[in-house]
Amino acid sequence: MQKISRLIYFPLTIALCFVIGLSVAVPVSASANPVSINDLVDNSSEYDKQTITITGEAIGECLERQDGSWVNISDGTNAVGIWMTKADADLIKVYGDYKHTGDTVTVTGIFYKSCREHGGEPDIHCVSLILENAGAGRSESISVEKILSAVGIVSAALILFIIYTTKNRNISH
Amino acid sequence: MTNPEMTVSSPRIISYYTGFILLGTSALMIIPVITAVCAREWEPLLDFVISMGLAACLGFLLIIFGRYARNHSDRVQWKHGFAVAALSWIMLMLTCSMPYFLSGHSLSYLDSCFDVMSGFTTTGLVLTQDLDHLSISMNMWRHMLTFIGGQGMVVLALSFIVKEGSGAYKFYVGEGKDIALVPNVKGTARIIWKISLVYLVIGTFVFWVAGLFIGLQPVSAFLHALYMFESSWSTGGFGPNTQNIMYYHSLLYEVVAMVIFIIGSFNFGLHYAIWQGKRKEFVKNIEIQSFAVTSFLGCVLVIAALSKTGLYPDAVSMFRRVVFNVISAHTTTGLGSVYAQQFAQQWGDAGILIMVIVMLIGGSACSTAGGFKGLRVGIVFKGILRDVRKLINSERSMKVYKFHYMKDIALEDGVIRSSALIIVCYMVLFGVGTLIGTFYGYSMADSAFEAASVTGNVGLSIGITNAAMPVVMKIYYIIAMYLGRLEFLSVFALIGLVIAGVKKVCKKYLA
Amino acid sequence: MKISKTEWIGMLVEIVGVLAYLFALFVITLLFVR
Repeated sequence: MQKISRLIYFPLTIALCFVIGLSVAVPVSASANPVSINDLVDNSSEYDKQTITITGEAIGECLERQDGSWVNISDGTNAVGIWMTKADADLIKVYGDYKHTGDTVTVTGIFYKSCREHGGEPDIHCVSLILENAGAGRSESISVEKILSAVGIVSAALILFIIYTTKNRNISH
Repeated sequence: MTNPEMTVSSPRIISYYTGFILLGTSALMIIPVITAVCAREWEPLLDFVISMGLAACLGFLLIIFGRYARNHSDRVQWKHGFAVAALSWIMLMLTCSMPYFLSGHSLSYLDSCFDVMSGFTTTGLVLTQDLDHLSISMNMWRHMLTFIGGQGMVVLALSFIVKEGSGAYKFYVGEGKDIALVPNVKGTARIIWKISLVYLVIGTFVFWVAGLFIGLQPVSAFLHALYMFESSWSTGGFGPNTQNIMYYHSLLYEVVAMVIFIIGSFNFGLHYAIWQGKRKEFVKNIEIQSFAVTSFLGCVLVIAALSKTGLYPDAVSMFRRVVFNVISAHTTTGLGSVYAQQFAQQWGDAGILIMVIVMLIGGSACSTAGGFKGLRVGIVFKGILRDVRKLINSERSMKVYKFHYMKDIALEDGVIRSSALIIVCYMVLFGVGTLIGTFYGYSMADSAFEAASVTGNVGLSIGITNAAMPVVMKIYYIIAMYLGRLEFLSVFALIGLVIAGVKKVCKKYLA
Repeated sequence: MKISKTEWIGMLVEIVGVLAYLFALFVITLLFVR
């Protein structure tokens, strides 16, 4: 009887230790869940020098420097600069502006509340970059009302201009 | 034969000149129209055509109503000058916000008006959403507005449209510029424009080269250069992107901006004097001295306060984050090299308080800057010194105290008093703004910071200004930006005239 | 629009003056933060 219990309890205990050990040893990294950029800035002291993950749209353009590139990412809450290698930056093809929605990327990196390397700026040094969604061109939808209003108001302005010039001539007489 | 008394009344005079300013602004919209065509932005093109038409219609209506004022420029009085300046700004705010509203980037028409007033007054607070996806023509318009607002629309109109005569000078003064560079006002306006245009060309070029150097593409480097020059020179503080000047991640860009916005905050009379060869004016002028002392002290104090916290551990960081922002605040520019909430969270009460003080002091008179103006601070300070000396010295001495502002001017009671009174007006405006902020639940430090930014037409935000802000605060901020920029007198004159007019009507129909 | 030599020098004086002032401020930051 005792031998059987040992056969059961011993592996059970080992299994339990294993499970507990795994849950503690495997780092519950903040990098697992993306944080919003504004959250990051609001709690900059808490996130300072931590590895974090953000997801957002690449906007503007890539600013290539001597030993790396800057890419600005916006996630609707705020925007921040990511310092990354040129190779990582080359993964991004489309940048957001009036005519484009930029590539959506997930960036994992170290956040600095006041980066010493970059003159005290709050930034993220990229460790890994994943392209989530490719960006695309945005089409304009021109409403008929606007076209009609434009025509209407320009005509009104021209009519008033004519009235103005005729009244002017009347005064001069 | 029409009776001149009847046809050239105050409302008609004001209507006539305001109408012209509206027409002029409508004509200016041709620039974003051309930009939209070049960039093939068709919806913005329509937005601007509609807005142009609207401004033109209103302009013509006002001119037609006041047409008899055309041949009677001798009847223009001081009160008309002030009223035209004040009324134009309101009408322009209402019409120039059309493109913003039509673009869909504003959550309400009030927000559009806020951004336009912010641009005209060269404040720089922003309620426009999603700047990073704004059309090129819209960005062109926003930054143009700060440039023109800084110069003064009235000054713009004067240099091209209005005939020479006693009337012209009164509009010029109404807009807060009272330096007569040359005997005729049109000539003075032209000189102000010449100086600005020369710097525009050179400044844009330098920014463009800097932009290429930091990795921008040629065309976008040019656009950014133009926007950032207009924003810096006018001490406006707008940027084409959400991150403002942080978008560029560049010390070079920040230094170029600083040089331009400091020079832009100087009095046009000073530029004129130096450009004419009177180079000593650069050090003798009371405003430069005042600015040098207060900005230097401001920087030193904030650096001292923050060096204890270790927030910016090295000199370059301290320079880029503290010196940049303090000088940006003091010149009332408002370009920010930190996020809004960082002022609140990282700078501490001492840092915030010093920022409030320098924002209120502001830049030079007759410049694009806001605030009390260094001139008044200098005059009041010297006035206090004078009074103390008078007390100490024997009562027999008849020493004349003076200060140097283009020329030596006697430090008389009248000068000191008018400076002090305007400072009091600003303090009231600031105080009410802070009070309203605290009423709505914002902390005193935050409310004071934002109120100072608005009153001094600065544009740095501690986080209060956003689209979700209470409507009352938005309206108050618009009024405060407007009053602060026009230095009260024009607006008081307009209000006075309106009240007088209403009284007249009441007497006529109720007596 | 012509710009005379005096005007160019004047502009240069303004720019150099401001740059000198900014440099002085940078020196101050060096004093506080090594």
